[in-house]
Amino acid sequence: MAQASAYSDPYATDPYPYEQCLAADNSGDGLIDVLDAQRAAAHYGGGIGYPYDPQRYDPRFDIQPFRAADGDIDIMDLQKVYGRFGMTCSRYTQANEYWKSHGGMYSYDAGCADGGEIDPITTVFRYAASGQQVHDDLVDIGLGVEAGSEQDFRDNGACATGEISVADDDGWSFCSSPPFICSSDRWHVRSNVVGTADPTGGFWASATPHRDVGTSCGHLTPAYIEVDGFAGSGFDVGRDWVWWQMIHDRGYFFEGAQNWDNRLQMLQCDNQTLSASNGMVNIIWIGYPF
Amino acid sequence: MKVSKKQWLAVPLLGLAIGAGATIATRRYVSTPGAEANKDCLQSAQDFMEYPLIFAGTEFRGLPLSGCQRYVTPEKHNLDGSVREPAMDFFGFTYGSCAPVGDEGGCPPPVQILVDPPCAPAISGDVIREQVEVRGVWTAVKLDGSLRIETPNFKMTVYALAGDYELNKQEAIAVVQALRGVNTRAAALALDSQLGVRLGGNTVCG
Repeated sequence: MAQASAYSDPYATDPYPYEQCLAADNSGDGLIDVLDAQRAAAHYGGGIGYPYDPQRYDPRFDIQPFRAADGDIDIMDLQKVYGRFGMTCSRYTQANEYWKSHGGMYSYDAGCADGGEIDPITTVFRYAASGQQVHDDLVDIGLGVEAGSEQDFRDNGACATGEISVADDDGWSFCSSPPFICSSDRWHVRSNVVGTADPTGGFWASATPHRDVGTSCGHLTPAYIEVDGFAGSGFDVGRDWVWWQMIHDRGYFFEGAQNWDNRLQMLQCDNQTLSASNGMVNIIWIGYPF
Repeated sequence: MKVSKKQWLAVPLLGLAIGAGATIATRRYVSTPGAEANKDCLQSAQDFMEYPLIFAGTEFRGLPLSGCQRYVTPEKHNLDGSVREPAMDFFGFTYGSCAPVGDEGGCPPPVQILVDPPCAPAISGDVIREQVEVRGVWTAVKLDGSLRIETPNFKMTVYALAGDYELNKQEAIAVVQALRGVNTRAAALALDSQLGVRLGGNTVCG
């Protein structure tokens, strides 16, 4: 779980620390200061029903309990702002730069050398993304088969072997019978868990989810596929499938999507198919009962 | 929100030329021209009219144009219906080839040019390491040494895998110096043009 860091603050272990910071920064200027306090105070006493003043009510200032507006703006709502006085929400975005500089934007073949890129990172798990948590969540969404060859990830300036490689199929179902296609379609996720905390004090893991298509040359990530209601390259539908499973089915928190522009086209095992992500990366918080 | 088939626009446009009949023993960059497929690819690119397409010609420093492909993904939505990810549409040109190893996972051809329409989403500022001026436009150098160029007419990303950040950057700049128009939308873009030159049919981003 969270550990102290140079950027830690008393609210870092709250659920949605970044979202709560943004809610307190009601002026939207990136700093929680007297302007935010004045704006919140102007709505103090606003609410629905006696003894509150409906004219002063604005749901944007009804931030306590967070994401469970209670219909009034009272001292608890103001405290959410006052208690963060002087805070800049940008401290949470520093985690983003950290992930990329410490974790790279692809998985790699052995040694992590430039030119050895294999799959684009399209998903970052954060908050309590320990190895066990990531593995358990991936298994829970149906990826219960340990699968695939090892790939490496850049990790805190070093090259590390990915800890997790799971799929919903072992991928070798048809090897013994005609047409002797020795691999089959599957969802496949590799993930690298970083054992040090990011600047928000949480743990994170980068992942390269993708859709494998079985071919006579092995597993191929297609340039375009429609599967289970998702459409795009094999990398794009892999990202979308994990998002759906984690956010819709498991109820985890989706922080947002970023364009990392990690779109290197990858030549697949048939020496013909080029496949690329569209560069978007989903940031998903796991391990907290949201 | 899941994507319905109706939301899907188009699919890969073009056949690829890479590796037709080529024998590649190791994972090193090699030239695999696939001349006939290249011809089809070029023709399709020249006929493409939706936004300006730019490439480095039919070869770059001995690496032949080995493939071109259009990637389109539809708009994606959050559970509350808001947009999670805008629709994406880009075109990729590759030069040279590589040899994938093993039964899964790909490898990146050494030189790649990805061209986006002008309204493509901006990249995260966190991936930009520095900025340089190339052919009259400020060009972002990303963490991996690849380049991102944004002009009123198009956006593009250039990869040139040469070994490390600095070499990647220098090679990618060389690729940018060789860029020229492919289709009629980019006809005004000659080798000695500034990349910000006004091209016809400007798009208003909404």
